[in-house]
Amino acid sequence: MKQFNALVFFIMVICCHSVSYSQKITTGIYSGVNFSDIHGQEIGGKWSFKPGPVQGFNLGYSFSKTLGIQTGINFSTIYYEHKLSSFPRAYYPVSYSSIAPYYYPENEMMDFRVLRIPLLFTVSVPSELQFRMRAGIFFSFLQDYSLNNYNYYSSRGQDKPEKHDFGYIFSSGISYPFNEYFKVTFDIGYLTGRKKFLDNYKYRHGSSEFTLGIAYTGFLKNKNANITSKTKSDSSYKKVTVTFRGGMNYSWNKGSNGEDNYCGYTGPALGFSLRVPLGGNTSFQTGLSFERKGYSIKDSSTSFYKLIQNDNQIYYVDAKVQTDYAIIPALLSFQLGESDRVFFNTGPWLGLKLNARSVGTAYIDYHSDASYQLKKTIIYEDLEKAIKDYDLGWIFGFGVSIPVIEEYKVDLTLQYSTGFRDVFDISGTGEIYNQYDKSLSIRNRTISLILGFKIPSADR
Amino acid sequence: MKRPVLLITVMCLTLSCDRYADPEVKLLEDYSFNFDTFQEKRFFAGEWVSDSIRFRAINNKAPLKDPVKVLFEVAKGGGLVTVSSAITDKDGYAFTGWKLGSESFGQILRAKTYDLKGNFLNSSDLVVYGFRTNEWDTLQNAMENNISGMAADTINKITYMVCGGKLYRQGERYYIWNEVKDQYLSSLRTIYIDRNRVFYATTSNGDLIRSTDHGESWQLCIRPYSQIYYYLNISISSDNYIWVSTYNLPIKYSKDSGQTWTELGSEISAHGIGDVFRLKDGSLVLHGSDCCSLFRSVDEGLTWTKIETPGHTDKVFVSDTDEIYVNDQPFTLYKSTDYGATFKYVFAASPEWGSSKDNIFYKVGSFYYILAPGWGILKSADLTHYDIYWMNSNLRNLYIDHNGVLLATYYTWMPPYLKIIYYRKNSE
Repeated sequence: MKQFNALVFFIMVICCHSVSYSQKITTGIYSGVNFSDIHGQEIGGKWSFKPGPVQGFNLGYSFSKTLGIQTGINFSTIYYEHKLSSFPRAYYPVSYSSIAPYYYPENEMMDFRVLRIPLLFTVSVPSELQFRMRAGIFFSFLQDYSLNNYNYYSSRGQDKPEKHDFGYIFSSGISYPFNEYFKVTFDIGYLTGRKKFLDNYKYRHGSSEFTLGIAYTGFLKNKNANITSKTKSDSSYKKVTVTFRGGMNYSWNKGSNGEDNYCGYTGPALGFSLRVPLGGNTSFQTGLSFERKGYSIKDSSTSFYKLIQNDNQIYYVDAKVQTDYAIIPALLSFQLGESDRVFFNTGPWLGLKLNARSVGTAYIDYHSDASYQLKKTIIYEDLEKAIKDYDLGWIFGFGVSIPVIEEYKVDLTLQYSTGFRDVFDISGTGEIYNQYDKSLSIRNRTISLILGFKIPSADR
Repeated sequence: MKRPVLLITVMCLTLSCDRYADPEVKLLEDYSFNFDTFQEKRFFAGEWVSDSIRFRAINNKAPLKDPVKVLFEVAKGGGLVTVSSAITDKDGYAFTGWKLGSESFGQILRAKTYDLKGNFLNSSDLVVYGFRTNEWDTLQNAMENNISGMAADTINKITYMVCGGKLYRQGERYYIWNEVKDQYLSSLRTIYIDRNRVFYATTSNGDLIRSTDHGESWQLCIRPYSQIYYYLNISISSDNYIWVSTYNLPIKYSKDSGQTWTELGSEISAHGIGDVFRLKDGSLVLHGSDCCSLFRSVDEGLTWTKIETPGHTDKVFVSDTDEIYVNDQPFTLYKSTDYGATFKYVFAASPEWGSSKDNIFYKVGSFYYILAPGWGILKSADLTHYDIYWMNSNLRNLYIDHNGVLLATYYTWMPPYLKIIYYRKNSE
């Protein structure tokens, strides 16, 4: 409680000092929904993205028109539910058939109500639809919890969750002023806790938040009038453009050799990019996008994410192995010709793993001398632990920019990205070597078709 | 501007929703199949198993739903079926007749099942055994695998077998064994028969049991060692004397079918009982249960004279003409025609492993069958000239019933420790 009081006091101090020059205070309230996204889990089963409520207020403090800090108070309730695999785990070599397949007896459910104090660094991009990114840390304080159906192992009933946590927040959003003092905001945030919240397990909190809010910008308006005119001449962001992008990825696994029947997978891509002119026909392009990469299996196997074939329990597997990444590119973009319509870009990208899973169906038929059974398995296996935390690669893109209304443009981009790393982490699978298993390697390759809606600079 | 915001919001929310079904397993089809009679039954090769063999297919998810198509075929053995294709009736039954062939001992009738769309469901086998003539028929995991003794009465055509501590009498066919139950017939070790066709069986409790009416009834003999409750070694000599020994106690013999017992001296008793033979001159030849302990007595066992043997003998056999044969370990046969004064080499084999030897000499008709454990079976008409009858280095014991059917047991010290018994019926 002392820490909480200290933070509230700290926020009040910031408010009191906000009367100096070139500062701008923004406050707002927001409400929305979070989708739980636990970390540190073992392979197997389905951790549902359960929705829960989020409310809070924030207090921002801008050093300039683009840079600032933000804090506030956030109340969230996070619901975790592990829907358990009722089928035998097929990741161990089936030649170990003397080990009876294990079945989990019931679903695991937990929920936590927390109060969070974030401390964020903010970057705003002035445009018609003001765009902002935030990153920082948070401290959280557990208010209440429930571990329903949680103690299916006897030791678990003794566990008590950690009362305090800290972690990282990444967020981006847009705001739109609807009068002189108020603007409506929409933010998407990703939160990941850093502390284990149960002693005997590696679980860490995590969630994605989607919030709508109203921000008040009327504090110290007179003094800030002067600031506004000054920042209008800030040429470094004068022509920064924001492009909201969405499209489809066709990805495949280059790590497997041609003998393996790994197929491609089509997944979504959604995000934004920032383009900063560097002079001439060259610009720097970065941003953040959510992309789902992976591959698919349509073959006989004893595993639901890779091909293992032996004489024992064989499924016909039709599954997709998906990894969700937060992709941050750093591209140089070259406009071809004077028309500014055709461009080529290239550069590295960093992908931070968010989730991984195998989904699909598998069929198996059992023939014995006395019986025949055909079983259909609905696959949903959490694979987050089997995929490394990040990937690095290179992007080549080619596109056209088509004006639609005034200076609003639509970009159509065809992009190829290659990953440098083998992102399969066998140590996370609990597997041991077996003679049937040509060890899997996963190297991401993706072709993307992206449609972008380019928002022009506010100072055009 | 509102539309793009709305569009992006909706897309984000849509992508964040759970789109995939929860993990689960659904049973789509479930059938049970069986031949409900004759499985693992025994027949003679070439005979009819039945003209109406019943096969059943049950759809466990929807028992009254669809019939199943059944294709019958002989998968092994070379026999024939009367119906090769059938549709199951409302109770799930399909029928065929099956006559065995003689191409193999284990014979298989196979029923392949298909749903009405033609999708293959299963293949079920009905396995039976067709016993052949002049072939070694191999049975795995059969009751006889635990055989520990056999005694045959060739006059009355009776054979008893001790197996798993129980007594079995051979049935109408040589491969059929029926358990004999009696208050004394438990924990049996082995069984013998004397020249008067009296059966004797020993138990693991030190009891000796006797039947004088071809096994119809059994009586307890006077216990040769009242103080012990464990094994007895026994040998019955051609004069119907019963010779017994046990650990650390004197050898005893009974002249009156186990009613009274006489002790031998301590010198001979130290070797225990292996085999005892009465020679035509009235003397006794005894080989102990240990190495090289061959003795002869000319005074009804009061005194014994040690006979020097070639090598390390563990077995003695005396022929109808009083020739004494000894076995030098692991398997070299010597013959003496002068009551053990001299021995002459007659045959040697090289077993793959060493073993103690139970009864290894059998006479059927005019031929002897001699087992060399770990090597195979020899056949001889005169015990001087030997033919290799069957080389099998996994043979451990040999038994012969009153029909002359040979039963050989299998032994291995290597995994998977198969349990096998071999049958062989020779033509007349």
